[in-house]
Amino acid sequence: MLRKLLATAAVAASLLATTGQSALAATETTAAPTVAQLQAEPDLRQECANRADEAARVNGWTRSPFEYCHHTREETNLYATNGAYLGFFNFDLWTLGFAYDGSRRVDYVTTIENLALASQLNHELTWLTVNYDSCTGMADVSCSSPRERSAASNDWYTRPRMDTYTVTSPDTAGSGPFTTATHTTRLNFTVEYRDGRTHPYDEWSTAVAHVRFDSAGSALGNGKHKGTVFTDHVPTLDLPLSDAGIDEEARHVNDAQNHPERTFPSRVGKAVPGKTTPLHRLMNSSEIDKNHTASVSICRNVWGPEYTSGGQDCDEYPFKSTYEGSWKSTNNQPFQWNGSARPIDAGDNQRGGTKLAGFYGEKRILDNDPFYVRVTS
Amino acid sequence: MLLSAGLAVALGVSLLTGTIAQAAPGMCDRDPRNPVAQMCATTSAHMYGSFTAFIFPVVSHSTSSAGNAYNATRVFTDDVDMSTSYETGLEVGWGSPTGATTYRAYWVDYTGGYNYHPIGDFVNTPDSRQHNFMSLPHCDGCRSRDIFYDFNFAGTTKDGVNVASHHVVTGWELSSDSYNDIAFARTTNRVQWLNGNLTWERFSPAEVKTRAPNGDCSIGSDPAYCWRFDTSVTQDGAGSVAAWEVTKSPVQTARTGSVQPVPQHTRGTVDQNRLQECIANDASQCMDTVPGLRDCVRQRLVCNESAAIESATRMRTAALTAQDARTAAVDFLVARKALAGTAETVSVQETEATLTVTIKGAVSEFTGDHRSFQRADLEFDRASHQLLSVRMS
Repeated sequence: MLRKLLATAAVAASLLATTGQSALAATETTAAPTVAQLQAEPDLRQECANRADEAARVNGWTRSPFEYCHHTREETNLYATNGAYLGFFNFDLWTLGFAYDGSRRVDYVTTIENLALASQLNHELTWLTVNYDSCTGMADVSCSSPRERSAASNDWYTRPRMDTYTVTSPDTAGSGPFTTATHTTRLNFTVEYRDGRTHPYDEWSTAVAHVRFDSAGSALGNGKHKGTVFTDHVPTLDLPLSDAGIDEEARHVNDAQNHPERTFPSRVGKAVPGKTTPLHRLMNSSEIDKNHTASVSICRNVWGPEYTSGGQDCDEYPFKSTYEGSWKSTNNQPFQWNGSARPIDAGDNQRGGTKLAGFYGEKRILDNDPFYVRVTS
Repeated sequence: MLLSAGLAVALGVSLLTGTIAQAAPGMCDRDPRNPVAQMCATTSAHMYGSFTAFIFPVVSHSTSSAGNAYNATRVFTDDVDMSTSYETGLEVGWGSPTGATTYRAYWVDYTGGYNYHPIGDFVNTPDSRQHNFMSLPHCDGCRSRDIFYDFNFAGTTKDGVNVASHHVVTGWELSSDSYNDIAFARTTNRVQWLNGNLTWERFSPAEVKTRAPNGDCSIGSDPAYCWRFDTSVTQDGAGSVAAWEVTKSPVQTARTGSVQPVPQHTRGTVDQNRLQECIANDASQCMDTVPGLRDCVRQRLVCNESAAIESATRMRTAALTAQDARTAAVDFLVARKALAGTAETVSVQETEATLTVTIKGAVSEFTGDHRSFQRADLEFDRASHQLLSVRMS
């Protein structure tokens, strides 16, 4: 995560300032330590390019709660006011977004690349305007200025990058127990042929990103007291089946997700969430306790009151800290639960709990936030 | 069995005075056997799998006689001859392989012969934690079952399990020269069965019977055959059968003396003197009454010095030789009274990873029905020396 967070907007801007495929190599002279770290793992932009279909969606693609990417190949056609076809203007529109764990801020870096203009069109008359929606009047957020760049195609060619666009939110702004505020960032563009006889081409909400700012404080658990996330990202908790000290925990989750007939409570048509439908974090400590108490009733029913013998805990999946827990999701009918409880080694269980708490904090998962659970080999 | 005919007859009579029959006849009706403490369950529905939860008990034996005890759950193929399909359980041995109490889980596939599969290596100290055996259909419509131990895959039975399985037996069977010497804490087998909707059910009280004969402790009788099981069938809140509980304490007869005192000493934090006294009197109380025992068990340490052995596994540095394998194979069967006489021939087939010892002669199952066969093949892992399987045909 540290590595990802070091992908600051400044570095990303440098990366995006190039127009070729060798973006990373071209930035070796800037901010050397950070670039070195970026080189240590697949660059967000490269990974985004590899996920072309996802990146081209309006909501783009998020690699993590803190990394957003949108990429489309825009192909526009210009027509005269009399309806005559004038020519095409094509370009790549890239937007990378970086939210911050530790501050209520998000940065966007937008570039225009690989411009292609019909030969009959004049470069200096072909204009492209890219802008972000204004956040004027929004109580909880502030936006940087300028939020727009309007330039001729040849200017975009020589200077493809917009100034970094930043949205911030004061630490005390927002509402609810975690002082949350949300913002939807929209990117629009307009293509013009400034000969006085041509219709402009407008596209609104070409790229959209949803962010949440929070000041959850210590309630988050093992994480920073404030931060910003892209809410379109649904994090995934990975549980290795071996070599992580949580073998029994991972086996349990694997059985629940994939082999519910191996789990208790036993019921017809049991479908345990977390793999294809997300779980949702529950932060009410009283309800968490009720989930666990309900799960213990399953362990006691199947394995007897001595289920703790030999140092075992009653493990439960979906976790007690989720809305899908055995009490919360069943209205206190745990034997109707789409979940599983079984005794596992207490050490495994505790290490699994630590891992989950770390995951919540690392990903800034707050109450009712969705997440997936994946068992890995 | 080693019982005299007269004693067997006497005990057989007592066996049939148990639960009033309401279900179809099961093993508890058809085959009185000593010394066992078993619950037999019969259901008219088809059973597609079984689940048994149990805890390794503290088992003690106060003599040096060889023997074994099995806490097993057997699932039967059909109603006619009640041949067993498969069995899962815990084997507790003493005198084998090195003269101390040993524990090891196993499963047996009875399809097409007798195929015994130990799970892991021996341990010398019960870990006191919950363990589970679960059997499930290998696939839709299959007649084979996948066996899971502690929710880890252990193996698959051959394609021969009758879908019309109706009978399960769970509980203890002892195999020793002196049953009275065997004692163990209360054990609890929690059994459920899998119905056609792949959901687990418990048996109703009307579907179970029990057989737990007591030995002959009358004055003048052979103390080797004086024993007593304390048993109970417990129910859950809905009135279904939750568990089969068995305790076996040593009993005193006119000819049996008191337990020999053992030297006062402590192994680690466990008071060995108190431990031996407890095991001799009521092993079920040891975890609560012997200082340090519970912590020792939780830490997976060797807690009972009298039962401690140097792990053969830890001492192994060289690959298993053919001679080693021959010796281990014969010892294994002899310790379980599965080699009736002298082996006619013993041969070893070697591969890069395993050695298979073939013993021709009269051999018999050491779990289940004790049927006789003419040949046993014991497969060992060359590197670990571990027994991988025993097949009789």
